[in-house]
Amino acid sequence: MTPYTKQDLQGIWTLIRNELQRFYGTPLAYGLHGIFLALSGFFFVLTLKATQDAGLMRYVFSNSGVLLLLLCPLISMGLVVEERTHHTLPLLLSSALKPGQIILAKYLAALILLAGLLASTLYFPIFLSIYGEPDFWPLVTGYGGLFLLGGVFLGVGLWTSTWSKNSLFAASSAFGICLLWWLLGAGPQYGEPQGWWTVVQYLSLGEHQESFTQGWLSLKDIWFYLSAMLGLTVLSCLSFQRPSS
Amino acid sequence: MIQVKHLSHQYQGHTALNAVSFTVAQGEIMGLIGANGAGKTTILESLAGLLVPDAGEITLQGIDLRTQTQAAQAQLGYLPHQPPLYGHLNVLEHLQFICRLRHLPKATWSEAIEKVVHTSELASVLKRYPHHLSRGLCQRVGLAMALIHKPAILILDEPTTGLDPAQIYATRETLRALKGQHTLILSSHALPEVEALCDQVLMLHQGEVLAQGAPQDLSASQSTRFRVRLRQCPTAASAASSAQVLHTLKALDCVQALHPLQSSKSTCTLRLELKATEQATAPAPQSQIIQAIFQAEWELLAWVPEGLASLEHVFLERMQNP
Repeated sequence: MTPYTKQDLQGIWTLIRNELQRFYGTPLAYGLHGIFLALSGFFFVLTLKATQDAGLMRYVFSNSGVLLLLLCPLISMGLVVEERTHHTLPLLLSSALKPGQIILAKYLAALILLAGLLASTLYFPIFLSIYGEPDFWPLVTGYGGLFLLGGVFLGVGLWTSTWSKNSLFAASSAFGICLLWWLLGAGPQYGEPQGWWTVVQYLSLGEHQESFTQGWLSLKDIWFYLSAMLGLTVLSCLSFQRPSS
Repeated sequence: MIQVKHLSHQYQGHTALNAVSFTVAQGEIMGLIGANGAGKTTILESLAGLLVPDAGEITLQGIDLRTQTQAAQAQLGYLPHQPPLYGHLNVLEHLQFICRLRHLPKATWSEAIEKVVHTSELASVLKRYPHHLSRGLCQRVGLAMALIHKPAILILDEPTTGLDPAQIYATRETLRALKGQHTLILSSHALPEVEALCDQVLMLHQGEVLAQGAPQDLSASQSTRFRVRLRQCPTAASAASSAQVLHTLKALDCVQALHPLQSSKSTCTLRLELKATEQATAPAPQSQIIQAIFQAEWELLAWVPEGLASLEHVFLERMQNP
């Protein structure tokens, strides 16, 4: 694999810009933003009414994770499928771009969208800091954890988008896979998990959120999410190779 | 320059291309013709780097497409069958997007855009979005996008399909104007278009090359009427008379009709009409005739086709007797 040159990086940036323009050129983007803001705001107010202890944002982050599980497949569903259905994929594939550049650009654009989505909820901590003195660090790690979790959801969506025939199928497949991955290892437990069940639980996406919401910076958990994101990008690249049959 | 050697490809066991080879010289236009499923699009997609063929070599401007894909693709502009337009970009934004994608220096954008806008006559629709453009205009935007980085090679997949006669005429004139500046390969079902525009034609049938050459050569090869000039061999000891030669030729199975135009003791000019069905197995009829002339101790001075068949006629004949 050859390293990317400056021209390759410029190509990636051009595609990121185009992807963001495409996304914000449709009502879907504003709809998703609106839904995310409304629901996360609703959960924030609900949690604020129920509890005003120091761990308030833990619940908010936890609920936001569920929202991301629902919304990320909708962000990622069109990433590659729409290029195919709108017949624009030949333009990209014949424009001296490596397939890896296209995938990377799509993924980075989706991550920027995710960051924008999360940034729009920053008024929660601002509101809390006006009326109280929240711990700063758990807020930072909480948002970081949500971003990594959303990044994995988007990675799954990107991968399903490379082999799906239409956006709806890409979104529903991504949602199903993400839900299973999130709930992996969940179930009735009696005592400490043992044997292979420990491994299954370790692979669960939900299992690695705990440290972030509690304000710990666990390298093990960061590594877990980053490896998953990297793995999904590689998987998407492999699935997106120029067809040979 | 495009060089293709032994290109083969299969789709799930179905042979799409079987050892197809051809060369398109610098500045030439080659037309790919054939029925649906003959392999035209597979060739064009392979040339554009969209498809990795199972076997064969493709070099674009001397660059191997398989090993130096990006460098080879930098030499080409590709217009697929469906113009690749984004719904969220207007015409001008599409052209700017390609400028960025093709790494054109920003200082050259306005000149490059101006040139293709002029070539494709898009000045009045620059701010329009694809859903407000007719099929013909979309096609012209696609062509402008393929041209903007001044590629040495242009690949066009059925550029006139779905266009009205005026749009077909405009596209043909645009392509004619590009002749010599770019090496061009296009596929089309509009055979009179191909005949009028192309220097070379590649006729495909079920993934194989059925015929290849200049349109006029293909027409000549399919001709059934010839003006033939014969002369008695000067060294022949017992040569047949011109009447005997004409009689021998008339008796051949492959000859439909024979009309002597001019005849003397030692020379003869005649119009020869071959049976159309025999023509499919060419050059066998010619061989039979030459052999008969030789046996009569005469020699062939000229063999000129008369009333060239149209490319359409050639295509239909070859399709019926592949």
